[in-house]
Amino acid sequence: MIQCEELEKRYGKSNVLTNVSFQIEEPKIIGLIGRNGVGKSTLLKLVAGHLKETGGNVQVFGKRPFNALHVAANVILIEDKMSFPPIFTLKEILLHAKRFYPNFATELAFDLLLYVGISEKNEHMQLSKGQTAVFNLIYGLATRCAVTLLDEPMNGMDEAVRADMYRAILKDYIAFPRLIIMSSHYLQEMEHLIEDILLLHEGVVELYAPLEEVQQMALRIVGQKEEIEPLLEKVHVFYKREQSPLFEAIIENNGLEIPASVKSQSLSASEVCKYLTSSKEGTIDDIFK
Amino acid sequence: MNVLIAFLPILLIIVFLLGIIKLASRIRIWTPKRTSWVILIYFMLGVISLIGILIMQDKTTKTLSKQQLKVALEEEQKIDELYGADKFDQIPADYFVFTNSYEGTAEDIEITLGGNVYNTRVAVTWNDSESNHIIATYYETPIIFKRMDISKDIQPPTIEFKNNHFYITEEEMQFDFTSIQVNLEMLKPIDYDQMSYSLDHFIGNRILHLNVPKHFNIIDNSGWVD
Amino acid sequence: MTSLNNVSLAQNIWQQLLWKCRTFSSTFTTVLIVQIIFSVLSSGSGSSGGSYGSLLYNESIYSLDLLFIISIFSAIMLGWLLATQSIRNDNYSVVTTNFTETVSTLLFLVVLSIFTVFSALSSLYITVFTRLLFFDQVMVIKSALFEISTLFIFLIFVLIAGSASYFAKTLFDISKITFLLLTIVIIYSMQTGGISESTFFEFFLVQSMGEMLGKVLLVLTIFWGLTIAIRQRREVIRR
Repeated sequence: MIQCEELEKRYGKSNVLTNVSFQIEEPKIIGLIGRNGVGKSTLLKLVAGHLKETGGNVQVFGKRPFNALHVAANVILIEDKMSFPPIFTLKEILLHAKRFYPNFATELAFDLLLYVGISEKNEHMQLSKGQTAVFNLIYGLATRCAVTLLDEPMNGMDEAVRADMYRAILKDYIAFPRLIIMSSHYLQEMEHLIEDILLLHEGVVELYAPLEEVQQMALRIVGQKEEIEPLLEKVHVFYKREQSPLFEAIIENNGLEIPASVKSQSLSASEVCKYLTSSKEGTIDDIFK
Repeated sequence: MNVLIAFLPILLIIVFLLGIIKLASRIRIWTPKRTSWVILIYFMLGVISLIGILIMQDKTTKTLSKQQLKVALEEEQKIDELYGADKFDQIPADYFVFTNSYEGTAEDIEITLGGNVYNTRVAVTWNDSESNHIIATYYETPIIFKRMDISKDIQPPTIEFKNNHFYITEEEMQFDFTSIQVNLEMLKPIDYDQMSYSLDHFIGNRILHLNVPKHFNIIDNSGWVD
Repeated sequence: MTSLNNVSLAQNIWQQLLWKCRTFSSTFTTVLIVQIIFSVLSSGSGSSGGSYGSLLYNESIYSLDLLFIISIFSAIMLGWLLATQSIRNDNYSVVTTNFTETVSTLLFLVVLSIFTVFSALSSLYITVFTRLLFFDQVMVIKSALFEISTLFIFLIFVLIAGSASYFAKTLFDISKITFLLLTIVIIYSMQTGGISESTFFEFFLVQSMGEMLGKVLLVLTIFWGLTIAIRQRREVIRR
């Protein structure tokens, strides 16, 4: 479905994506994770054909997406800057969508709008930030495009609506399986939803793996300093902190035997990603030392 | 500065148009559906108006066709030739309007044309008659102005003969009209030939023929008498 | 898995054209409002008067001239606006590519130009008919009430104006300096007498219909070919 090989994207002199390679072959929900400015939106735009790659190769359904009609017809990119003609009400926007997206679930879209309490008589420009995000997400979901790209879809939504929308995505995905790539800063919230994680860091794919695998990638160990320190010599350490009398470390989970006196605990995928992409210059605490 | 002045009307129109565009997009009553109804109604009004214009024949008049104008132009040229050759007796009787006889009492007969006598041409021919009668004959072909036959509105020139002096004047005629031209007049000069120009202006002959016995002297005060 | 949508180029352009006719329906109302205002404010397109000896005349002319000038200006403004970033962003809320987006906009400009011509014609008929109804004066019909050739000439100039403006805005977006230089060259040429509006009209209005059509098609092909070529390379940037 999607194939990226050594994909590069530069804006002027600034390199956003330097060497991105991955391949997605089957319908699934993928979380696109990364720090601010790492190029998540750029990657989604390249896949959607909105941007032109500077180097490397990107293919969607076997075609280069930029300016490809077949790709445009089967890929939808939902982002907060998405705009609709101001002359249409939400109802008209949804009714027109069917002409361009034959699989458009008009009824579902209207039901979801009604559920979240947004009047179909509203205009897109009149909506609040949260409502805009909800509408855009509903629109993207209802198109039932084979590739649905959601760029920070939950931005601006309140917690309750976010939970409902995650559920809506999951339900519709189960009924109509497709590839959904969702970039978000709320990884913890969507851990129950996603199957794979695509982690971008410093312009490259730092990690592309199933969620369970990511959750098993690191361990938090807490114990006496003299017990912990010998262990740290044998594994990659993401983070360590001494808080007398205890010593805490986040380490790579490579099957190392942990003594019973040391407390060990798996991390959430969100935490793993955080440590994988943490600054090599130390932590924020180091600034205030 | 001149450039600025030249572009000022254009700038004003642009500002006006921008205002209208902004207004049209701001006013939320203009939904696509309503717009299509407005357009449909407007076009229907246009068609009704066209039918109305065609039906109201008492209030409209058509200009002569190009063919008719060409015929009139040819006729004008034919009469011109007869005029040039002094063959007034060959001018068709249809164009005869009136004839008057004036008696001269002195050897010198003066002719003064009014300042506005522009369309009527005055010609003098001589005869060998011993009488003192000067015969004035007026001919008028159909008068076409701006492609319209205005013959019925045209008054013959006034001839006053007093103290052996002819005063020939034309009654001033104000001709106001409104025309409809479903074309682009502003682009006309581009393919506007001499023929079109001739057809668009004055076609017709107005001739006053004075047949004067030879023993009179004609003094032409205007210099326009042939 | 959800089935893939198969859309042909022609199908997509056609759907976009229909969509644009609705989306940009305010352009139709703009043209209509402008034409109505100018028809109401002006009593005809102009007047001429003079005298032929004792014959004094005064002619009030109701022609398409004023509506033509206004339509040209409207087309220039609307062509520019249709190429603006915000409008183009809206266009990307449906299935499109740079190519189909530009071609469908071209077709929309054709529809808008046809509409402009017929609304101008309707405006003229309505103005004249209203005058006939409410004024007791005989009107002289000096041309056929429906001339295909006039309407065609009206159409092509409005379309060329809109296309030129759309192209100018596209050029403006990629290089403001090129646009500025081009504008200066045009104004300078007009000032020094090399080029005038009539030069432009004379170029197209030739006796042979075939030659005229050829010139129109050539100019439109240049404008739209360049526009498509520039647009093909442009990325979609939503701001």
